[in-house]
Amino acid sequence: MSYFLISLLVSHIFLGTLGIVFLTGYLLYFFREDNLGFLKRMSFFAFLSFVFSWIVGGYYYVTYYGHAVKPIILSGEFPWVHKVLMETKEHIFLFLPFLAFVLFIATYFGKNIKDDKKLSYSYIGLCFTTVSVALLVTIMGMAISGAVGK
Amino acid sequence: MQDKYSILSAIIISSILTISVIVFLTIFGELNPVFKTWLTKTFSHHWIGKSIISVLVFLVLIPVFYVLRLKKISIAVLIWLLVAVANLSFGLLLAFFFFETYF
Repeated sequence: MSYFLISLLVSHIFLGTLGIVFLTGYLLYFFREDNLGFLKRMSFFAFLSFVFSWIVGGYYYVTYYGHAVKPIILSGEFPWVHKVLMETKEHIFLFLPFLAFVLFIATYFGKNIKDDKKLSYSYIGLCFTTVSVALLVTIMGMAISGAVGK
Repeated sequence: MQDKYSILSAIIISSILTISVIVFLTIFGELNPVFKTWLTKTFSHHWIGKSIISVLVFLVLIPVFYVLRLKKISIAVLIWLLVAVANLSFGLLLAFFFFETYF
């Protein structure tokens, strides 16, 4: 694998993890006072992280994974890792930019989020779901990397 | 304020439908090789096809739902609906690929 592809794969992992960090910050600071600006920035950066992770990960997946990594996993001890985990991962990853974008826009437009309990809980629910999906995608990615050459 | 509400509700509904479209394209593509081949030939890779279609669906649906202005549904309910659809879609895709592999 070339250094260019290695850097793409590392960037994909790094950006995805960064998105999780931003959203975790969003969750941790949600109920602190006078923090709307912080929440807007966290949700915006999370959205950007997932979009760029999508682009660099997609380039790596389309140009390298399919012909170089996939056959190794399928001929190894754990072909189900590609058939179940990778197939699921590559599609549920597509949810993340949309979920993060909704969170960003909802936070950007939400002046009185804290005053409305139902609304604030829905924001937390959306953020928690986005983090959970991103974490599961990360765990699946670790399993896929672990299955190469086994 | 009303305009912000309309934009936000349009974006949430578009996201819900976009995620549903991603799930549909994925499962339909697996069950119908002709469709998956069409995606691959048209967009160079089936995954790129699904990515481009999902973005287009999202961008087209926002103005549509903005014009429709669905005022009766609260933002909180729409967000919870999005959360439910995202979680169900995750489970559905995982279950689909599990069954496709083992049964």
